[in-house]
Amino acid sequence: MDKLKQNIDKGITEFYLNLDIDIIKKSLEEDGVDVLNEDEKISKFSKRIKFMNNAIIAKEKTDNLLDLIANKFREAIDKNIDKPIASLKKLIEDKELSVQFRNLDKLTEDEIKEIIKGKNLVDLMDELDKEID
Amino acid sequence: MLKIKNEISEILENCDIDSLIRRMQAFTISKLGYNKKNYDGLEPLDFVFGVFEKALTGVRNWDKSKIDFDEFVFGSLKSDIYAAIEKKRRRTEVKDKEEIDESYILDIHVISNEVGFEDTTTQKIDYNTEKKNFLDKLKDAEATDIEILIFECWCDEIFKPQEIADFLELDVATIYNALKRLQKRRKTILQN
Repeated sequence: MDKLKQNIDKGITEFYLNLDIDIIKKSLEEDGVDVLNEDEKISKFSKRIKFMNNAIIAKEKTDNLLDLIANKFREAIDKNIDKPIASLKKLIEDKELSVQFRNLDKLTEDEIKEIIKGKNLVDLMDELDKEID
Repeated sequence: MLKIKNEISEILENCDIDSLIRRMQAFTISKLGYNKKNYDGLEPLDFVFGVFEKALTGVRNWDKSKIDFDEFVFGSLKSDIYAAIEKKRRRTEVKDKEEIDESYILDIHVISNEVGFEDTTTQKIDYNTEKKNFLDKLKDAEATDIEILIFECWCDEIFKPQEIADFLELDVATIYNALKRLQKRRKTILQN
């Protein structure tokens, strides 16, 4: 795109991006848009987007916490720290998991995550911090 | 569920989506008109919703270092407007000059792999000559003084509406109304 067309395109775009929103709405009304009715439709749309976005952020936080806790348990197993190991064994028993989970040394990170899934991760993290540090 | 890309997810937390949608809608109507047939039977607003959702899911790459989120979304919008025009052109052989701004094809910034893509392949035409030619055409088309002054502001790289308004000592709403007339006049000039 040559410079003149680029400048015109930028000029037009800047207007729509920066103009006072009330002026934009008034102009839409003049174009025949039922702004009042559409406000509700837009509000529902943006709420849906924000809701999905919050769900994604929450999932990301949970995933990060799961990673952290799994690493802490791994560290505890490697260093043979009694309390967290006992807690992990208790979780395995409570969940009645298969024999593959009984040999702690061979537990993978994903298996540890499977064991702790469904637990209050924040409380678990607090406990581990106290037990390991 | 909509798979929103991580970097966009952070931005959305504080984004005024409602206003951005309105801005996109106004831009779209200025390019495609208000007739449903230009939107595959959809309302212009539904067309905008579709573009917005697509932009969130990473169909297009956003280079955060080059442009901000609003500009990225507008880049996606321009690309989809271009696609809508092309689709209509393919479907109907007869051009409907009354309702479609086909001249937009001439100046649209087509997005290649990412928004912010700079096309350096087109031949460079002398800027001042082209500016003078377009200015003459605007005068021939009886553009008002404000329209001409807006165009000259753009040529001098003054782009923000408030800056233009301050420079011309007019209120922004007056400038915006002139801009809409200028857009229509330009469409006519490019179609002739």
